Amino acid sequence: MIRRRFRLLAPLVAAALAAALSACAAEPDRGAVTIVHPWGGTEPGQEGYAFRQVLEAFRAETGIRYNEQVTRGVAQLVQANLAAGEPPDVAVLTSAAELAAHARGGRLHPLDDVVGETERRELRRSWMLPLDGGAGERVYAVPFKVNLKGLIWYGRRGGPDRIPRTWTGLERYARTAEDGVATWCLGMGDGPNSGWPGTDVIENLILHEHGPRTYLDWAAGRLDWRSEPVREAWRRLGRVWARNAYGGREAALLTDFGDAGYRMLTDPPGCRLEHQGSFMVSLYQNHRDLPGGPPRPGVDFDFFPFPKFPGRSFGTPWKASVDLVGMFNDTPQARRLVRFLAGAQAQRIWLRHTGGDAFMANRNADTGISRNPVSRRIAEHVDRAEILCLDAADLMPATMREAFQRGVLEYLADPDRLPEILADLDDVRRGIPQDHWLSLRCTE
Amino acid sequence: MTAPARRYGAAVRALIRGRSRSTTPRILLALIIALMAATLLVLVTGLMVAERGRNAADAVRTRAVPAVSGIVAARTALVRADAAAVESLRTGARLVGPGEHFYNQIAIAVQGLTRAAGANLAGEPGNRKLRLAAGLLTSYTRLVQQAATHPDGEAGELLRARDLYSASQLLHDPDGGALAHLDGLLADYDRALHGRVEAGARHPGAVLPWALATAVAAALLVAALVFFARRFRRLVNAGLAAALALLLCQAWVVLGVVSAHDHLRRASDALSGLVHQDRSAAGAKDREALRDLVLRACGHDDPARCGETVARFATRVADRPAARGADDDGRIRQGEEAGNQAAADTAAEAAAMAGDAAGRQPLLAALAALAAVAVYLGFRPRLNEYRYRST
Repeated sequence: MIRRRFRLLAPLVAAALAAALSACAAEPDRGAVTIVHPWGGTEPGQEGYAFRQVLEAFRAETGIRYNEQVTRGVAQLVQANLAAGEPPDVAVLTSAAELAAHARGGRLHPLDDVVGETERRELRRSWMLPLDGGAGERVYAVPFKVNLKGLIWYGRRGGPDRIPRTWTGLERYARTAEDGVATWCLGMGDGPNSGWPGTDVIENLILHEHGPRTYLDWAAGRLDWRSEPVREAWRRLGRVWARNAYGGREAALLTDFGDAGYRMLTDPPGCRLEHQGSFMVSLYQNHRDLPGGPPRPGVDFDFFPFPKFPGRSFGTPWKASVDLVGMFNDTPQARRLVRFLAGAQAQRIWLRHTGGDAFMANRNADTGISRNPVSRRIAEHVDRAEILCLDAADLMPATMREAFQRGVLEYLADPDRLPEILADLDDVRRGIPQDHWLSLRCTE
Repeated sequence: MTAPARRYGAAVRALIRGRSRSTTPRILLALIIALMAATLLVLVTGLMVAERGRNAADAVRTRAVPAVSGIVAARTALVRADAAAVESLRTGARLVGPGEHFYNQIAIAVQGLTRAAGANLAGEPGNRKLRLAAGLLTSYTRLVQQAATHPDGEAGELLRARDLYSASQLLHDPDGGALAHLDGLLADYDRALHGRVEAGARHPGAVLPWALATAVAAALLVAALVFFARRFRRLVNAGLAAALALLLCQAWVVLGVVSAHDHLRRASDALSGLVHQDRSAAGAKDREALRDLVLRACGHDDPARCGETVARFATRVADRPAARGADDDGRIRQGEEAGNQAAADTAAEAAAMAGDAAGRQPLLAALAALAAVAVYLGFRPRLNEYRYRST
């Protein structure tokens, strides 16, 4: 009798034990973190895909769930969410000035005790940005990815036979447009941020012709927009670039930056050079609809550095924009994510999923990553640049940066309005309180 | 303790201790306890079915309908706002800006998003998508307003085209545009809606326990009737027969709730129809207008001469031609609006009906109480009889 009862009870006890064990084995809820970032794309090789792999690795390692919001207008979304009282936990922005404004307003949390000395020592440059400008110089953002600006890309089919090493050489080459083939592939479009490819040209011209000191004075609001160095850079944008652009100024205005280089890679090409950042290595390879398949770095396209102005005493300057990670909600989950993104493991995952065509802030991220020859050369420039400055527009307060971008669009639409545009820009500069400007040095 | 309670207590103790040699009192006691328990179980499980039905109906009525119709309204309004902006700025109406119609449509879009946010159908992930769409809407409005500020003339026209194209991309970009986000949100809402409907009165977790409890109660009542007929030679025990009838009434009420679930499913289907509506035709004409505006600003009829972006845009527009004739586009939109309204009305009506059916919980409770009383009345003469025998 007892045995029979036991036989009946045994399965019930076993089921109850199994249920209890499975409940214990279930992953405990370690909470969630929200991140806003600009990287779109769901296909392998695209930035959005790569970053999702990074976030997946974070989830696997920590058990913390993530919610991502993807938009090209991260700054606008962060503003909107802050206004609604629901900021994201973490956001990736390129504008140091924007982050500084949030730090000043107490909306951004310091990261001094989030990212330790070990992680800081792994960074290629001192890009742990002290954004509050105070004596304490607390750190409010950690760098994730570096985009080297001021590369001049060319298609191997229609590019120059001899690389112009000096500004005069480039200017001369720009004027020798052949029939039906323009010198510059130029596209200003990027939704609400349209105009930045033009601001990049102006910044590089000022940096290379007048050096880091003038460049930083201008970026920090200490130089008049009507001053000769700035005015001449604008004129050169019109004279050298816009006048020799594929489809003219009109096409340059109406073309999105991601599409502009397409005609450089077609056979026959429509344009020969494009002034753009290091991220183009990936973007060019995404033109899969070309008859010869996706263009190959080093085979179908290559780059040369922005040429030197003769007789300059300073070394070879470079400028870069950096994707910076800031924390808007101080939660344990947000802290873990920021620390994870600053580390070599996360950045290596990105590299692996973009075929080594990215340049990460953590120098240990490169370990074991094979790169194509073009990306390898860019990485060397990132590592060995004599002078590396942050993108001036990223250092300017949001109002100034937006006005700068609008100014470029207006200038391309009507170059004769340059004096008026520069006067307007200077009015904007003078209207911004002094403590809203960032004074950061170039790294040497 | 009152005198009747003492008497019944003594009878029960006597029955349990088994002083009587007859098995009848024990069977009577076991039967009445089992029947009372079964009646209670039928009530509880029936109430659970009704509660699930009510919850699902409430979710459809108060969350799904406003959320889906809000997003659909916002989506339609945004497409119309874009058309209004292009039309107003294409015809050189610089002085009036994007026009009153544009601002009205933006206001409708904002109201729709607010309605959806209030409904909170898809939880925090849905709210995040809403905030993203709202952020894009702000950038979009700003760009259109900026487009309206450019002076007339070649340069102004070019800048206007640039701004309008950028704005339009913020809406229409399949990879991250506001409309794509709203479509994603609608798909989330659709999933959430189906989840809530499936968790309603027809959920096996609710219906099976109730059906089992009802079957057990019915079987016990029939067994009791047979027992009474055989043991006491009575054709029918009136109390137990009444209890059986009341049990059937309860089943009828619960089945009414379960069948009302069909209304809910219809409502859900109507809302899903709204979600999956083909909206490709709407906006095609406006895209053609924008292409013409861009080409005019560029100064070439051949899109390829205006750069790669314009060439690709023109190809996309050509691949999806607008309906023929100026009025057809308007008709498409009117049909869309009528469909939206009808589906939303149907959904609200069906949800209200399902809610009404599920609101019959007090009736269920009353029927169960009556059934319990009927069972007691059916047993009382025999219990009294055995109580006297045992004391």
